[in-house]
Amino acid sequence: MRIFLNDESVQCVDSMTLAALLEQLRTLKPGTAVAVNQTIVPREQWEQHLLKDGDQILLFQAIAGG
Amino acid sequence: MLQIADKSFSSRLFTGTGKFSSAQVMIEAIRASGSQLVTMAMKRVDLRNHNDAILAPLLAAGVQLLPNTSGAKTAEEAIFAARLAREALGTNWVKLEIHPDARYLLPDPIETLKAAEALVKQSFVVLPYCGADPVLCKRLEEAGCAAVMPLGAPIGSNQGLQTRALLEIIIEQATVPVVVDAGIGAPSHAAEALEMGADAVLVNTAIAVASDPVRMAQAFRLAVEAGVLAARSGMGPRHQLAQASSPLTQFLQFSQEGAL
Amino acid sequence: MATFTDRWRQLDWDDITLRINGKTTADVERALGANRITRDDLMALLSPAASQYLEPLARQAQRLTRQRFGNTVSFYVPLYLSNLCANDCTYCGFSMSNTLRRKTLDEAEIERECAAIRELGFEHLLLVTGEHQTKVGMDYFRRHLPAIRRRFSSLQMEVQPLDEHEYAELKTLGLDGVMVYQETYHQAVYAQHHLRGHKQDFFWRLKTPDRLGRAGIDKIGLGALIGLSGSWRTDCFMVAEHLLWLQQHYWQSRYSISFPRLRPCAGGVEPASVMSESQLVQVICAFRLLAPDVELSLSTRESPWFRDHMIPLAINTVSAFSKTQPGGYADNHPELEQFAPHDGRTPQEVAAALTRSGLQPVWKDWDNYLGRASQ
Repeated sequence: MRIFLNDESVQCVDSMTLAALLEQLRTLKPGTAVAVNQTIVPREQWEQHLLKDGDQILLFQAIAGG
Repeated sequence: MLQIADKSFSSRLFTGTGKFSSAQVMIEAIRASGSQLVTMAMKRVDLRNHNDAILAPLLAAGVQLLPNTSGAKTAEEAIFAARLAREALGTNWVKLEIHPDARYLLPDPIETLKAAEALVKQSFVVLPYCGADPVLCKRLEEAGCAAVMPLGAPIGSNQGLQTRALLEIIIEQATVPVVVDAGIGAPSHAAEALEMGADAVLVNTAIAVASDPVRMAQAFRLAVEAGVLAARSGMGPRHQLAQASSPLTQFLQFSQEGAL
Repeated sequence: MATFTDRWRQLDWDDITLRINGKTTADVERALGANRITRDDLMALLSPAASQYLEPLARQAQRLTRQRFGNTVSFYVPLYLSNLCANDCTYCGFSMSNTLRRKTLDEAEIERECAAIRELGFEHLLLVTGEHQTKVGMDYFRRHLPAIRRRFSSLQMEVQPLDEHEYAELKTLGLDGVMVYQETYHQAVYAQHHLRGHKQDFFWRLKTPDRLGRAGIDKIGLGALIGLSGSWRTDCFMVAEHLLWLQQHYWQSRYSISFPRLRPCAGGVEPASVMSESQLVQVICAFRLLAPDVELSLSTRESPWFRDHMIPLAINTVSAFSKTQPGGYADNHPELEQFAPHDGRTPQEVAAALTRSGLQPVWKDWDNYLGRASQ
């Protein structure tokens, strides 16, 4: 299925969990937060959260800034 | 000790992490500053180039993280950013920063108050960056903010305490800590803010863009300590007592009441 | 919910007294030179050492008063609605155990008083009663306030402490301000002078301004009965602490300070500490430096001579021709007085005296249509 990660189109298997996706992309770092279709998904739910076709995923990280 | 919400700070110099030439310099500067509270931003992860890891060294340094909502232009965006930050960093402390004005980065008072009210209800420890507006600061206080952070001058301008007359009023009227944020360009500005009675200052640009940020951070540390000491030692009279030309109290010589 | 009681508990009377009395001339000079004076500075200005600096203190106080209030002085008058009282206070003519003909004005009498007062030119009214919750309580106020309100542009009350919701209700009936004097902030001395009745409850009274602030009452009046305690300097400092607390917590209200002096008198209670006229000047000026924006009030307790000199220094609101007995304006009966006013001049005489000093009397400072819930 196709999902959007930070506005970029990504192909992935059908029953992908959020945790699996992030691990695949090697972005499972501390200090990150994820929102799926504008809703924040808490870290403890990443293992259970199943992605659907067309999901818009935004991945945030704490960075240096004022 | 400065108490904000449930945390105590022995240093009254708060610092930001932006504009440094490298994460390495940033960490060293923060260490030199003695700062115990550090701000950072939440941005989308760049999937191609992984951003410098700043979190691990900061956590190792034991500082209080204060994620900001910079980038937000509305209350709604700021609330979203705050929740992201809480999720990402595991802290409910947030610096509310909403500046739709792209030129001077001045904070929007209405969106800030709206966001503050909502975030306090969602159990955040809210430190709002705001204009040096005494009434707005009282409203933010009433909304439940843990401190107020009025600006000294526009972000990055390094112009010092341009808003000093209003800062004095804010400091006089506040029942929560006042942290002067934005515009502090020199250690002397920081000292002045503390002498004036501010509880702390937040400095980012002045340290980050100095030729020698680590040394500048040290200077700020000393300036803040000097300001705190000065505020506690009771400065001498500022001006001479004027001579009376037509005495206002001479009439008391003719009091009819019996002498004590 | 935090109230001034929390702050009061942190204040050590004896320590404050010692600190005030120990202030030096150097401390006074620092206070006079400061832009914004601190609590410590105030102690210096209230201290014995400051008596040598009366002239510079008065100059500063006058400068600040002119800056904030211009050359105006506001006039108000008290209307005593009742001298019924359920308290026994050693210093007051209305004490429950005093044999005094008790009078509570009815509707017609109130109307006569209001007419007489309007004739004198007043627009700012202060309603005063003894403290009798059952016979002169909320029912009485509800019944009579609306009619009185329509006649005057500003209405204040000095009655028994009420509940927060009662103040909120009175606000909808047009109440602009409430004066409630703690008399003394020294708990033991307070107990010695309040022998019977609800006024014995020190903390109920102490928390009244907090209730006023929360009810959104616009003006809150504070004061101590100077001389009731053994250190009037400390009591005055306590008034200042009270003011600072209230200003921090109820920033939308404004404040008024009065300085009633307990004078030695035959048959009455002797002051435990006597304040001279010179010391009264000192204290009023000290308050002006502490709080340049606060209303400072001087009543007819003081002599005409003193008032004429003091008012232009730092006072911005005064009463005149006060009758401290119910019905006194339409029909004068001095034997029913709460205290004998020292300045019995007519409002016009007082206004003329102040005009000669360059002050403009202000009879009306507010108008009915501005922010009134009841019209």
